[in-house]
Parts: sequence; C-alpha cells; structure tokens
Amino acid sequence: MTLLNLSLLATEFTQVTDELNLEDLLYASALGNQAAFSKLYENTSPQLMAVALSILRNRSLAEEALQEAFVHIWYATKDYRRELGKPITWLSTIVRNCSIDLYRKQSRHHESSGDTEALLKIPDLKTVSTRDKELQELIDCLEPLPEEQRNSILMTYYHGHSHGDISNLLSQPLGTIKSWIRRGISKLRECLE
Amino acid sequence: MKYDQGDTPKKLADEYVLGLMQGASRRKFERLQREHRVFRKAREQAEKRWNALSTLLPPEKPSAETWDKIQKRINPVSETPKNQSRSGLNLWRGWAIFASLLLAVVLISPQTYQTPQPGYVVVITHDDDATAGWLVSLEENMQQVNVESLSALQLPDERVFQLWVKASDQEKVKSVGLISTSGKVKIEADTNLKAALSKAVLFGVSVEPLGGSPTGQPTTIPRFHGNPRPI
Repeated sequence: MTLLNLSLLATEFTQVTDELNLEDLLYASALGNQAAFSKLYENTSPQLMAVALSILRNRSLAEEALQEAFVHIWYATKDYRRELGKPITWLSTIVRNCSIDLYRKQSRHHESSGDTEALLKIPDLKTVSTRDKELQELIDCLEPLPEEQRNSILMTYYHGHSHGDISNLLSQPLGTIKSWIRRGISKLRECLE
Repeated sequence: MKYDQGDTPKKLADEYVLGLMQGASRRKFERLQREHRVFRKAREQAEKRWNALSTLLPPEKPSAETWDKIQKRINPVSETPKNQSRSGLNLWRGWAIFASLLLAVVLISPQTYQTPQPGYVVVITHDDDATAGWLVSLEENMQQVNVESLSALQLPDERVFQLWVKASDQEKVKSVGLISTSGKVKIEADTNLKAALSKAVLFGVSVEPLGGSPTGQPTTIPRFHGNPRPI
C-alpha cells in the first residue's frame, strides 16, 4: 500500500464547519488542534481585546496582555469545564487576570493617564439587552444599588482601579470608597442569593 | 482569623475577582484557593458571576501581529517544516509502536497464531505529540473492526471519541463508531461500512457529543490519525 502524506489527508479529512461553537473549539484546542485554536482566537479576540483595553487603556499593552492570555489559554484549554461558566466568561477571566497583572506592573513605573473621563467610563446598564440569564440577573441586582456604590463597583471591574484610584478619581475619602464598594457587593450578593 | 468560615471566602473571592486585592493579599488569596476547595469554589463562582460583565464592552479588533506573535509562541517552528517533521515523526513513532505491539503479540501470546489473520492494522496516534491512541485491526472480510485503546486519554464530560474512515473513492468520511478510552471495542460493519473499510486510506478520531456526531460528519477536527498497514 502506498504511504500517504498524513498532513495533506488530515486536511482533506477535516470537516470544519461554521457551526462549531466556542465550547467545541475549546475541546478541540485541548487536544492540540491549532486550527481550532486559531478559530477560537478569531471568534473571541475582539471581545477579549476590549476587556484588556478597558483595564490597560493602551492598545500596545492590551495586545501584549491578549498575547500572554492566549498563550496561557492554549495550555489551559483542558481545564475548561461547563460549570466554570460560558466559554467567553472563562476566557475573559484569563484575559482580565493577565491585564490586571500587567496593569499593576506598569503602575509601578507610570502614573495613571490624565484622561479622567476615560478612567470613569462604564457601560450604561439601562441600555443593556441580553439573552444571557445570569448576566441579566446580575444587571437586575446592580441597577437598584445607590449610584455611587454601583459606579464604584463597575469602575473597579472595568478599569482595574484600586480603592485608592477611585478615591482620587472621585475626590472622595478612601474610607468612603471602601465602604461604598463593600456595601454594594454585600447587597448585590444578597440579591443574587 | 478563620478565613474559611461564613461568607469570608465569598467576600474575599469577590474582592479578588474585581481586582481590589493587591500585592501580598492577592498572593495570599491565590495560595488559599490553591490549597482549599472552599476558596477555589468561591473564586470560580465569583469569576463566573462578574466576568459576564465583560461581554457588555464594545468589541475592539486587535492587530494582525498579535495573532502572529501568539502563534510563534505556541508553535515556535514554522508551519511547513513542522508539519513535515511531525508527520515523519508520527510515522516513525507509529511504526515503532506497531512493531513493539507485534513483537509483544508474538512473544507473549502464542494463542494469537490461532486467530484469523487481520486484513490490516492501524495505529492511531495524536497528530502533535504522536501519543498512541488506539490499535485498530480488521480481518480480511472487513466484517468486524477491533479497536483497542493504547493509552488512558482524558475526555471532557459529556464527550466521546468517534472513529472515522476515509475511503480512496469517497470525498466524505464515514463513521466507524464510538470508541472507548480503555479496553477493547468490537464494531460490526454493515455493507456500506465494509465497502469503505476495504478501500480505507486514512482513519481519524474526533471528539463528539454523547451518542456521536449528530451530523454524520465530524463536528470537531480529528486530531488522531493513522494509516492502514497491510499484514
């Protein structure tokens, strides 16, 4: 029997369809499939770049964080389980952690940029329409919070601000900011549970 | 202070996920969640809850160079030579495994001489690291496909491995059946499958939902392959 070119036949053999969802792409990546991993990147990188950019506020740094995150994801795909959340949520966690790490490193060398408006910007929850049940529940519990508590929590989440950063940005005492965030999270947890 | 009592793990997990912990406290929480299930569960729940918010951000396309850099780091050797060398390596390793198995059969199992001679055998290995997955053997009449697991491969929950065959005269692959990650499986071939098996040029294994691919074709990319070797 003639020996056949494995890689060529493997390509012919492969039936990649657009219906592949993120979970399938994660499972295929976990088996070392680089084509699936490339598709995973293609489908999720714009959303994940937004996560990195919201924390780092610099395209070059955000791309560096995204790069670190996807190298980590390549080796961590086998750890994904459905109970950890939707694939995009799990991927966001990794990108967020890489972005926060890079942000902390950068903050040691540079002060925050002077664009206060960008540092305070958060999505308007009132305009959000989602079919994601868990996200909708979270939004429904965030909305009734006093504005200063809700905004402090969202600024922390979206921009990776510390208590001190928010204290400076909002010109409020550090203790006040800590109290807003602590009370806000506590009420939110009660609402969700 | 007892950190693992009451709501403390949840409170700490929320602060960790929101990014409010820094320096030593962040490292301490990371250690706690590595060592204690209650903290790990709390972190996973907090990540699941909070990180859904990330989908509310307007998408931002990264530059093309970002993917190039990722690709270089996960696959440091350029694509074409890598595939060639991997294919060669797979072939070599596949043959080495096959030869070892044959030798073991001859040396250890004299009763094997009494079994029918197979039409061909296939050693199915992982495309990237040549991990031996299964040994497939068929008798001359192609009536029965014997699939023996060669290593305890891990699968995510609610997923199964499915074996496919590509025949020389058919564009699409044909399902042989679901195979196990341990022990042996025997699959009876119907007329159509026998026709495909008699002209097989390549076998592949993909990961599929429970019960097998709902489309009749692989729904994930097969990453295990093997060529038939006549005996």
